[in-house]
Amino acid sequence: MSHEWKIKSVLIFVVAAVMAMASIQFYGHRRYMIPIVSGPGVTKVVKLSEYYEGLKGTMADTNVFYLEGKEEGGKMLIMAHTHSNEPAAMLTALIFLENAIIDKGTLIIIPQFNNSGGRNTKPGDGYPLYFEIKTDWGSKKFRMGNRNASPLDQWPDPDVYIHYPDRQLLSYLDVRNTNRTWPGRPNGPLMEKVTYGAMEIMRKEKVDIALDIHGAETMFPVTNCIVAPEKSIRIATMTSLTVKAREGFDNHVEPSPSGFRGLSHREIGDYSDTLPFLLEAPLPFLDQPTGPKTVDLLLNGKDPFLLSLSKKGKLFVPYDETGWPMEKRVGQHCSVVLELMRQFSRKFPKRAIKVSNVPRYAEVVKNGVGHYLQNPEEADKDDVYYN
Amino acid sequence: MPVIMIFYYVICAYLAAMLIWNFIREKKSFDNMVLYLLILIPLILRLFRIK
Repeated sequence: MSHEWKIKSVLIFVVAAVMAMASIQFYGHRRYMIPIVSGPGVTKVVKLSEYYEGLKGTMADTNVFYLEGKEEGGKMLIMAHTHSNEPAAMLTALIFLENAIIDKGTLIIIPQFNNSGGRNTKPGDGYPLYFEIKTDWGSKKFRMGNRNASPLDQWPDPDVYIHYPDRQLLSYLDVRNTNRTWPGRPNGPLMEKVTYGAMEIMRKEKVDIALDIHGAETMFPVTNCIVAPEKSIRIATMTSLTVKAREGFDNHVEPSPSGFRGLSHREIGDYSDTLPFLLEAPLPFLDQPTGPKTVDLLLNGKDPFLLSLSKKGKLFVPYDETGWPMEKRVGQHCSVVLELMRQFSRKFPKRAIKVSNVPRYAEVVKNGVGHYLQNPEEADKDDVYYN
Repeated sequence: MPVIMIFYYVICAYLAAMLIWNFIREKKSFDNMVLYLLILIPLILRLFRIK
């Protein structure tokens, strides 16, 4: 073998070895299943593919949990992990799912809405593959996902995503973003099928109110807020004012723009009778000018560069040395969800939804998120669902 | 498989073949050899449908 081919052989071996090491990690991440314990309120668990069969057998299919009260009332749909790199949303959904007792009405919870996105990552940004939440019984490990569905499940991307049905031109990446593919269609790309499946839930189950829970950059104006279209804005405003007065945190209202298509807070309202809301909590991890994207940054939200920018007035939320810890973000989401439920029930008493045993902002901040997560190893095996 | 997908796979195969050919022809530059191999990775994964 010539000297040149000896070098080339070594190079091929090194590249193949690095590739194999990375592959093992990505393979494990994609297949890691998060155990979810169905709490006292859960009455049935189905798959999203029961509402649209085209999702069956795909990585986009996901669990849908029903929490039905003894007394009939209204129905609320909670969707988390529309963007799987915004984990406060999923943790909020899990707190409801594992603890809530439904006194009246029905809660429908999809904790991992973009299931394919939850099995994707962003290596270019150095995303961690997992993070752990400390609980009273140890720690619980979660996959850290990405904003968009995995290209392994939906490929190729178009040069430009033409939104259905408005034909608005969106970024090519948004074809894998389940907050741009609403209201979806049965014969579209996979993520349009996911949103179509959720629309089918809303139409068939006659859902009154739909919440899409997110997190957003501190440098982005649409953060720490409730986004609502015209038909939902009164309830959103009352909720914003009430949480500020009673619980002391800001959560302003942003109107849903009618000219920007594909978003849940716009299309759900336009294509069904459901009242949509999108909740945003600040998520420093997503900001661009931060240090390394570590698990600490994800959980605590502390970053020296953001602190410096905050002192220069460049952020849209208050920010100090305490950062934006997960407890604050999840606590805000819990309180806003409960308050939206209360305001809706006041306005439509016949369709009221009453839920108990869910902590509010101050309790989550005091006790931590993990305090409200159940131990899957101690739970009855029939009550543990993997996704 | 839709026609556009077939085109994408053909493009992948063409680029992969060009990269392999350039890698074989490269005699001096160590950097270029490494670059060819790295760029080849996603194309090989796509061609062989390795998920």
